[in-house]
Amino acid sequence: MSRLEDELRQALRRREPPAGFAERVMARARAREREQRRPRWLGWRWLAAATAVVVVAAGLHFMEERRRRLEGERAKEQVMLALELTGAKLILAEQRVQQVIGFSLALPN
Amino acid sequence: MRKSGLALMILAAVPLAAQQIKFPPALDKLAAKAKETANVNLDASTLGLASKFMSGEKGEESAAKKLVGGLKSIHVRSFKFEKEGEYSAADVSSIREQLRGAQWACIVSVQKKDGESADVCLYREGEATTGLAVLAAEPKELTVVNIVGTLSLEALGSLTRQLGIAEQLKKGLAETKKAVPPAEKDE
Repeated sequence: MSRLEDELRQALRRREPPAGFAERVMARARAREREQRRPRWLGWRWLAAATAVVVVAAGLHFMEERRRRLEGERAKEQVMLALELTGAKLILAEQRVQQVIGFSLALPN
Repeated sequence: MRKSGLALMILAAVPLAAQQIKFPPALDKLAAKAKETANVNLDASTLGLASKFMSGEKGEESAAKKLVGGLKSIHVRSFKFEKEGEYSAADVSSIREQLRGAQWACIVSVQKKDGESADVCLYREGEATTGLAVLAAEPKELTVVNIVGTLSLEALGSLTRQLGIAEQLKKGLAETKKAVPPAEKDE
């Protein structure tokens, strides 16, 4: 009985931790906490930045496309106007010739 | 002039896109007197852009797209006035003189005593035809067109039909004929 008690006492006796044990535990705990926090925090930040970049780029692209489309439509209108005027004046010239010399010169049908 | 005179196909490479007629400064000043002005200056890149926005299937746009493909530039000045006599003979003659240059061949040139005139001229570079000029002077209207590049008048004729210009003008001419007896023809 006394031997058993001695063994138990020996096993359960208070022992001092090795030097720097508490610091190492705290450092490891902090490191783990940082590892857990940083990616999530940085992830949101990068996601927000990337979203902003995409939104701005899409906006600029949309504005550029809109400007280009307006320019194209305007150019098309001018071309149609120019060709319409040219066609009209060619027909007018043809009609003047008809009036003067009495035969048809006719634009192709 | 033969019946097919205006039905020429102008098919040639175009080395230059520069305007072939110099519009005199006096011409642009007419805008102040005009009730309607059309001022068009389109270079090759703008024509290319316009072409991209033309439908290849829609009638008139399809015809215009075919035309524009061979063009290098388009220059138009057109003025409509409230009353007669707003432009001078000098305004017209300064352009017509340019069309008498060696490189121009006029396929139509009609001048009436009242000052009305119509000129259709082709610009030649060697054997190639690389431009078209139209000068139309009417009592209340003056139009100068210079199209630089390969232009098919056949395609232009097709476009004018699609736009219904011929019908409108024929209607106008028929009304004129009713009002003006044939004896009043000047030339």
